[in-house]
Amino acid sequence: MKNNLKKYQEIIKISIKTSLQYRVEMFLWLIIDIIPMLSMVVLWIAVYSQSQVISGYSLEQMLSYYIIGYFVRSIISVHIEEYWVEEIRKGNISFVLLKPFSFKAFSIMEEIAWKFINIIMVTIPIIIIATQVVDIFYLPSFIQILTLLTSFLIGFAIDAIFSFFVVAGGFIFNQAHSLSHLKWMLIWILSGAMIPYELMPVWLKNISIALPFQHVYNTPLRLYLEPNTINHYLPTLAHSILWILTLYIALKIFWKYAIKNYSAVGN
Amino acid sequence: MKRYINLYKAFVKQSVMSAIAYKSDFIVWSIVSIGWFIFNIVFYNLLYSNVSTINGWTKPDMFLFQGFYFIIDFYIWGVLWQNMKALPLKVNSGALDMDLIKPVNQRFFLAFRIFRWNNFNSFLLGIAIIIYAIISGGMRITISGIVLSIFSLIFSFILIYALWFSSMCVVFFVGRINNIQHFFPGFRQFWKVPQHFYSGLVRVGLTYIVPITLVTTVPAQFLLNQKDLILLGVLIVASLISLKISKIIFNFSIKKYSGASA
Repeated sequence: MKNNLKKYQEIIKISIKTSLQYRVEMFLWLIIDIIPMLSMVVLWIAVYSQSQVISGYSLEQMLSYYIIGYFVRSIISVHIEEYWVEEIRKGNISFVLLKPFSFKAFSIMEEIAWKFINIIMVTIPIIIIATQVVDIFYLPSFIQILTLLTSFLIGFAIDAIFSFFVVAGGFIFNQAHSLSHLKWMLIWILSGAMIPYELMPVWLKNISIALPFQHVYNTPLRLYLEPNTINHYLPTLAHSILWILTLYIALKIFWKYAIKNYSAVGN
Repeated sequence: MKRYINLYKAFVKQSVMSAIAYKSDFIVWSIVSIGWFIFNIVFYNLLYSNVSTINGWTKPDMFLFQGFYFIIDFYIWGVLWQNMKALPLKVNSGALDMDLIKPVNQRFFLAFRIFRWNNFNSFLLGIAIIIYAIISGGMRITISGIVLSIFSLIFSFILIYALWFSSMCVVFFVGRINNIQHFFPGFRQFWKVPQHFYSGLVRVGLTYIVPITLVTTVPAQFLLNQKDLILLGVLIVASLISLKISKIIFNFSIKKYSGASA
């Protein structure tokens, strides 16, 4: 156990150094992730020029939803599949699969390292700047912080599991980048990132609530925007844990099946 | 010109075999296109259940506008994406050598070699929603409107290609940059809403400096018989200047390329 921890500690250290070296990539992800939020802000400002309240949301509430939501996504979102799908296609993943550590754990450690640097160098400075421009942030209580951290962890885990489904798809399909776009579409629509659940048609809202995508955006966002939801968090937490277990088992089965399809030069 | 048209026809023919070979990819992209299409319909129906117009755009106007967004999405993901995605890999692996020695314009070959039918659904859905918008809105469409709309769409395509290709040239200078191909497509969100939705300096910037909002707004406006020749002029000038600049940037960037055989 101690040896494993030491292994992953070293992976995180190396990944932090790598992420610091490839800062341009990090900067590009910042822009790629912030643009949808900006365009939604522009759209809603235009809509609210015609109406003061839409489905119970004022303009300020709607903007808070998207601006705070951007920070939630920047903490939770996982992009593992973007790199590994191509590496699988080229056969370069072989050297990682042969290493004496879990590929999934290795990818997660890398992603955590990138996320850590991203939060320190990008997210926190942007929050500081944003607090000077808009008055929608507040300092949560200790209990809220703990609950939010739990929710972020759960959201990260779910996003990561879906990323690994896409990576596993890369072992089966020659052109698996479309799966990455499918994952992206499902998350953006069903997590509430595009429109709040209250504005969705009933059928779409019911589907979104039943599925686990709410935990990668809607749940942590609500916990921050509506602090009293913490009192009713336990059922949501149970829902998320159930989904994580289900998805994890499904991933284990699918991964075992998918990796049998993999072949590369020398294998 | 004729040579390049024939060459592109050959590329498209080859891509049919690719579409048949990668059926699952075609199916998944179709699901993605249809998913986004349905969501957009739901989303704008929702908005217009609360307001009758948004900055002068009615619901049929907006659906017609979204039709052009989907047509351009086909151009992004079906015509350009695979080529732009391949460029960083070719540069970093040295495989670009094989493309550079071909007896054809290098930028044309790099940007248009691979065509994908995967996203053809986007094109069809775009046409479908334009037709639906025209019928449901009782719009009067003129021949000149159609011609000017298609004419301006061509310059939209040129502008998108020039800007995206220019941004991709960063790979010649930066060693590893795995997400550069996603950078420009991210800006699609800016032309997902009409240029009129923006205000102030942002509107000026996105209309006259980097006029990406015009790629959808101008073609849509012509079809709606809202002839704004100034914006058309801006689009044409911007696309031609961007094309020239992309050529300069590429010629400068390629000098940084050392290749596998050098």
